[in-house]
Amino acid sequence: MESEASILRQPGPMPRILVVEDDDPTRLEVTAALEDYGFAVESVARGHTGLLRALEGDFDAVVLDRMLPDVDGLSILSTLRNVGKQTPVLILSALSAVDERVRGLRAGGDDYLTKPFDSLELTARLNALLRRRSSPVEASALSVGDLVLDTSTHHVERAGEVIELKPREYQLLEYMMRHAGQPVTRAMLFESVWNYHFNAQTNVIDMHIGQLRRKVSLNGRLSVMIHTVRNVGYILHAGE
Amino acid sequence: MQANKRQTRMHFSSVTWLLAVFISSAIVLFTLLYWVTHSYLLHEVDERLLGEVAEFHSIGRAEAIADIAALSRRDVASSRPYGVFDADGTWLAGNIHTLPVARHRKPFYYTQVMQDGHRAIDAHFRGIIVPTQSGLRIVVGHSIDEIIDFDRTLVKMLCVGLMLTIILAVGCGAALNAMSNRRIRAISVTGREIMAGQLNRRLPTRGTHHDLDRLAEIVNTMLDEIERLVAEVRGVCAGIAHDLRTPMTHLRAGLERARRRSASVDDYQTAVEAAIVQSDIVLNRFTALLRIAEIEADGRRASFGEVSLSTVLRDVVDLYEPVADDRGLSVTVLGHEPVQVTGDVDLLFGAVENLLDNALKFTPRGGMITLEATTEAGEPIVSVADSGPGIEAGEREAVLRPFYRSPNQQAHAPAGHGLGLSLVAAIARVHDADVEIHDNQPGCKMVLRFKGA
Repeated sequence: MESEASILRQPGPMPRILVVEDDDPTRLEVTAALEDYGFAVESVARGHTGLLRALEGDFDAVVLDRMLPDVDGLSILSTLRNVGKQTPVLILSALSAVDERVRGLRAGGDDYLTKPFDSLELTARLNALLRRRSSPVEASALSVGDLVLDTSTHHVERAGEVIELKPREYQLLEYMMRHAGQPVTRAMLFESVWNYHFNAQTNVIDMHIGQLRRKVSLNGRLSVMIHTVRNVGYILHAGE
Repeated sequence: MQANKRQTRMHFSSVTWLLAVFISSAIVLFTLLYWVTHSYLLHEVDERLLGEVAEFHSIGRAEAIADIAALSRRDVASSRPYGVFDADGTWLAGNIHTLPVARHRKPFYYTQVMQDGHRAIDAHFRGIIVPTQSGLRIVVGHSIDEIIDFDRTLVKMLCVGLMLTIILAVGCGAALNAMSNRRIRAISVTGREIMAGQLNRRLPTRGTHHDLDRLAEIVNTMLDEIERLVAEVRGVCAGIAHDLRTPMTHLRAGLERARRRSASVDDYQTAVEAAIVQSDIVLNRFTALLRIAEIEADGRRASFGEVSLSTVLRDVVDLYEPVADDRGLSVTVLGHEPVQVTGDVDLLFGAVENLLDNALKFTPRGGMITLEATTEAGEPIVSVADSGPGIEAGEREAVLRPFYRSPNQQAHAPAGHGLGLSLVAAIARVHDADVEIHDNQPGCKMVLRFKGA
């Protein structure tokens, strides 16, 4: 098992995050968690201020509460998108109804997280958002260490040896390789690979990953590349 | 209590109103009766008098005096008096001695003092003056004392009748009022008992079709439903408390142990990890409960679209394949025709997932699970059948309730929080679908039947 320290971002410029949240304890908690995981955080409590800062400031991502006392979170989001501001936005909401998620994503949100949430889940999702923005071009060949995946032919090999994968295993591996070196949560894997938004039983994902992990390590003959991050999910890296 | 008082008063005043209407209509009716009778009798008299006008109109002078003199000597002369007068008002013959002042040919009232024995009494008459062609004035009278007597008797009778009517009406009104007041008091007593928490009490009824009985029956049916719901809520509360006590106890015990024993940072770290796991269990329970509440609260129609049940089934099976392999169970999907329903794809996935998860949990190793999406009698259905122990017929409705656990499942029940099937039931309700539980012989077959899809 990896310690949580591995989630800490690699040294480099700290991504700037704007947090718009009216509830004081939640705002402090989110700010503290993001700072701990290596983000530069600016937090505001009011929707108006949040909108102004999002328009003026140069942020890498915005964490936006869905329900603010003065302006509705979704209005802020649509205003941002209407003036052509494409900063990735992650919506926080106490409403888990599917309607809400659909509405949030339609208004231009990039991801949606229901309260109460794990700060690690939030961090992992933000990292994924930032990664998505920084590498928009889909590379046809992904490689991590000696593991190579061709997205056009779905061909996977490690150290020259072909790995046979089932379609879902292939999708899981592709997603993890796109986010190599970053922790990905079970919910993120489930949502992106199965494309449903219903909290699946996490142990089911664990079993899929278990099989994938075994295949990627060539039944244990090579080093394990998929590691479990306690309380979070998984991380794929080339290893020592 | 305030409301009760107001109701009683309102009821009383409605009876008073009824009484007032009833009595005044009786008075109007009796007055009308009196007036019609009285005018009919007078009309009869006037008819006769007008008849005499025609008879005497063309009579000659001598003949008139002789006739009137003869007529006024008859036995009935005192009640049918006549008089004949000259053009200047001089009495010529008859037992009317003065010419009354009145219009000609129009009946009028007059009184005359009569000797009855040695007592002078006022006699009442109706009279008419007939001018003849020969220049005389003939006065014809008709006693109306009998009519007056009759009128008095009639008024007395009507008054007595009216009194009886009023007494009867007031009595009945008071009795009715008292009766319904007594019933309302009984109902309000029961109502107070129910409000005080005795939910098994019911409003008293007499089994008639009386308004109050019908109302009481409606209220009683409502109370049955409320009692059932309250019992269910109590069950759910007890279920939640019971369900959360275990992880909370573990959490507390772990923290306490950490305080007592932990010496190094590592010890504390392990304790914190364990505490997080336990609190996650608690949070997950709450999330599951809230999810059911949310699904039931809003219709969620906005997220509805065309959903292929066959695709959802395949995706769920695909997700659970490793679990089935691990437990040594075979899972098959039957039917490859596309079956479409209008619904929320995520919720339907959740429903099928929970059904399959349940089947996987309760089916012993080597068992078989069959999923099928098909159309039966025009209604799309999804079925998940297993070869496990099945569900007793008597428990089939209960298992859909939150936190229900079969008493004979306790022994071999794997970990679960008894919310899965309630979630399925909630999702089914949002989709206008029925959850049916059939016997798979052996095992259990859960069917989601989409009505009118």
